[in-house]
Amino acid sequence: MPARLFRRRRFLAGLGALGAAGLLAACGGSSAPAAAPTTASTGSGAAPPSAPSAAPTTAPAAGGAQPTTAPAGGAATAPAAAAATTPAAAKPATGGAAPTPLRLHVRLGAEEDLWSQWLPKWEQENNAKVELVQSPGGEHVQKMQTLIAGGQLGDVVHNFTGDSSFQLFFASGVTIPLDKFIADEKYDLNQFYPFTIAITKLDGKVGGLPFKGHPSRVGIFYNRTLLEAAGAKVPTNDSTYDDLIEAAKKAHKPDAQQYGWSNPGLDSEWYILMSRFGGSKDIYSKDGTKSQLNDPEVQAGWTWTYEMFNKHKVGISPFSTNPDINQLFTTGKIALLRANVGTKAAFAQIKDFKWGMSVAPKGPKGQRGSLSQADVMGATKFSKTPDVAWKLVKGLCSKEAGIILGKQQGGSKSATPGGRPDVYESPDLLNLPFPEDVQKNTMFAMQNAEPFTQPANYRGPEIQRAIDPLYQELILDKSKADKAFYDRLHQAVQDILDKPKP
Amino acid sequence: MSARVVRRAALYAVAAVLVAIFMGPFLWSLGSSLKTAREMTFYPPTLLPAAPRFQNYADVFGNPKVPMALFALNSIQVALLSVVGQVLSATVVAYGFSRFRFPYRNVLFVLLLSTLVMPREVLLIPNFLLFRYLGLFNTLTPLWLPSFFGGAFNVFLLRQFLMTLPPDLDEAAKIDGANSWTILWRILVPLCQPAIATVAIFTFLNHWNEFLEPLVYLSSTDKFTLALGLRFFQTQPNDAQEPRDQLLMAASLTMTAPVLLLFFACQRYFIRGIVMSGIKG
Amino acid sequence: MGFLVFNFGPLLYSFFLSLTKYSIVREPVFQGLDNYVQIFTRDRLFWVAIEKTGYYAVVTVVVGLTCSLLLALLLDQKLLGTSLLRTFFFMPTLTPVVASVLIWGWIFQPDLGVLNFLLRSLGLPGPGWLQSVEWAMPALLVVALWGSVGGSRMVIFIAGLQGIPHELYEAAHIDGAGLWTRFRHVTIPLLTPTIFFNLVLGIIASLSVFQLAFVGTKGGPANATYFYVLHIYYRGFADSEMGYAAALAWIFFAIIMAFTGIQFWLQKRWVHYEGAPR
Repeated sequence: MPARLFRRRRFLAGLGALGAAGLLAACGGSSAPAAAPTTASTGSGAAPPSAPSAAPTTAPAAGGAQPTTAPAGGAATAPAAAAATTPAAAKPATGGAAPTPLRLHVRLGAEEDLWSQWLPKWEQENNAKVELVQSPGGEHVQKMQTLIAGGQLGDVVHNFTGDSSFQLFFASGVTIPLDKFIADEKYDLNQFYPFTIAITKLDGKVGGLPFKGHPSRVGIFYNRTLLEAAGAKVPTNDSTYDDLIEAAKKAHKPDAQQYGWSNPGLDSEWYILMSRFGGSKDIYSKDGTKSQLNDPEVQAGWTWTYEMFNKHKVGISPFSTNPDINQLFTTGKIALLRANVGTKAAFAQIKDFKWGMSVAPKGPKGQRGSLSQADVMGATKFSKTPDVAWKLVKGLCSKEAGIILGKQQGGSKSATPGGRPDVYESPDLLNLPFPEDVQKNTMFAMQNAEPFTQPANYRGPEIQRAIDPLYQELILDKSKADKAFYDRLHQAVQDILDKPKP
Repeated sequence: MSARVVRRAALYAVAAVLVAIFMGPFLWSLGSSLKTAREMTFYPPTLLPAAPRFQNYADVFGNPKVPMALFALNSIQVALLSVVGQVLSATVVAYGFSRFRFPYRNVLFVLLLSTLVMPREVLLIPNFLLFRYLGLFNTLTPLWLPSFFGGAFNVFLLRQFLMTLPPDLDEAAKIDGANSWTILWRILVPLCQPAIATVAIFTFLNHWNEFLEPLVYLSSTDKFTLALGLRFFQTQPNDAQEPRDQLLMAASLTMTAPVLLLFFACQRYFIRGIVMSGIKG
Repeated sequence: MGFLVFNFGPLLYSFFLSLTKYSIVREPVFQGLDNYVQIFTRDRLFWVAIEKTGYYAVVTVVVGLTCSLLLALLLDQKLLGTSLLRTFFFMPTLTPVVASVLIWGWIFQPDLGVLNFLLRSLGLPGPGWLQSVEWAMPALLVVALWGSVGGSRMVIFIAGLQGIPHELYEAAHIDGAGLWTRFRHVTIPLLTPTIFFNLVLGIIASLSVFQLAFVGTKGGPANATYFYVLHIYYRGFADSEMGYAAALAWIFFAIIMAFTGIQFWLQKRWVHYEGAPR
């Protein structure tokens, strides 16, 4: 079938012309509407249609143009010198060149400390001016998609391997391969955890650097005070899954609003993880084309979860969003919580009881079961200065930035550190005032993380939405963990894996 | 007479129960907005905190990264401009539909109504492309500009109103030499004031709470509207963030207040407006 | 008319998109009616969404309209403090959906929430509400009704009621008509145009339900609240199939327009216009 490619631009040009005509007609028709826009401080009603960037995309580059031109000889060394020393003051120390404007797309509030503690310095050192485009976490990817459609994406984007946004952006050429830059300056990729590099590559090309590495939902958070009062064993890295069940049973006292076990429910990573622990097999085959949910090893973890909630009945419904499960743990109502190791930041404020975190036990096949994902920083094809964009990507994924991320606490901030051993192992993080072995075990989890296979057709979110309802049926005991159920599950996933790429 | 008294008493009782149903959750959120995160999960649940924590409100407005006061200004700007736009354009369009005969008038009117139907989520990208083409990306303009071209709901409402005004008024003015514009602005609009107040409040409310459009069209944080800023206080489930539902409550209550005052102040116009618009034909 | 540009330009473009494969990050590729065929033949969730949305719409329209009308009747009784009452009833409408979902999420919380606390103190078992397959939809309906019955529909009903000439009631009273008879034979007939207006706009609004589920339940648990527009959104943005989503939207559009058309056609049979016919 000869697929005809429509030129959207042309279609829109017509549309836009129509729009402009409409505007004129409307303004001519009645004088009142025309008067109103002038009262708006934006005053952009008259912006010529040919200048989409007429909007103030570049932040006021104060002082950038003011310094007199530097002597030609010294200009070249000035930026390097500025980079080496800590920036003296806000005055532009670099030569006469105006700072390079860059736009960076990130989540609203999640990495605040980086923008206040690290970014100004980086701008200074690289003579660049970064405009942050922040969108609420839930809609961050949607926002970028819309900007891509409109050709208005900035230079550097925060994207994710977990929701397929990384794969889609890179495969479609929205984010550009970084191999050239890496080769040119012999940038060492070994400074990151190998698995993070493995998942930020597609067809052998590097699509971005790991901004954060997630060892994922392998933390077993425990309320020591509660467990000890109930006479239950506090989990360690050597506990078994049976030990967890025993402990949860003892601590589970629903009449006293005290619950033995929970895990974040509306959370795809969790059940994918469960698929893992029974053996070395993932939810998908290694090439990401076949569902392995028909395999008893993969099913073992699902069955275990089913029994925890419905046979032993020691769990509190994991589908709570208000308050979310983390909040229930914080207030001492949950004894054992399997969650993202990064959740520890939300617990840092706990003072009323003793808590800690071990790493998920080994499954029946001696596999600990983990899956790892990465937040990725990528440079886009929209960037006019890809070399500077690359510098920003590099900076955002540096040790220094990674440590700041790991130290973030409170409010809307996410505390997942950068995806590098030197960050996880740095004394800065290991010495944070967390109880017991929390930080050590975080590092341990990261060292033992295995990459999480993604579907070859990048339909991760769609598969999630097919699995979610079935998973919920299982937890809510609407379905038994039997063959009929697993057949349904397997088929639902395979159906989507059989589709072409979007 | 006594039967009447009993009936009145019963009505007051019903009204009291209803107030409890409507205001209960509201009071609960007011109480929560003054709690600590920990107090939110007390069991048995408490309506009021042990000691009101007004710091929550300070936290909402004192965060330099989330300048809620600036967001409020942006929201006000958008909402007011939209009100102006809707009032002007809906009046003109409704005037056209009610007073002039032109080919396909009814077809056009149905088409107009059909714009209420299409899910906006699907129109986001086409709309975005349009505004980008007009060079209005990352300005507040796309949020209020379409208001200057009428909204179906408001046009419908005003058309109903105008249709109940006797055509004799126009005829008389025409004889005096007035043209259509003069008739509209000098004669019909003054009579429409209550209906226009209705349009104004509905429009203000819609733009005040609008989330999707600001999300898509605005990029710089300093242009955000309140509805976007509100999301800052919404904990992303499983994102390892500190629970701060109490802040979201505080923020949303503050956001509600201005519209509430507006409604309370305008409700006399509001009610009369719709009566006179004669939806009953 | 600028109106046409801002509304129909994007509308037409979305129709064009519905005939393409469009992943947003790439240019759209024309593929005829493929999306439509897929929707009707291979999309299981499409039917789920239709069922849930239909259920939701029937309840919110029937119960919602009735409640709005009853509230309006109450406010028409010239009670003391009517304007305060009116404001109280209207207040939930002002609450942003994000906040009302949060408020009710806490109230419905199965283990710690107020509602189940009250039920338990009465010796009744508390269901899982938003976290249970059976109760999630009823719970969501409560949130929806709370946030809408006192809103614009009520206000428009009040207006309609106030527009009924007093003489008619008095005449009926003199004829010895009781309360019910007066309601049945004076209020209702004269209110039909208002009811009609609210019905048309009410159906459109309830079929378009989105935010409530998007913020509150994500369509769960086990698809119990998986609404149509949610399906459109997920297919378009989460799955990067904007062409498919546009096709879904156009089917939706056709369904609602059909509904609206039928209502306009049926109105002759039950809606009484007092004044000059339109």
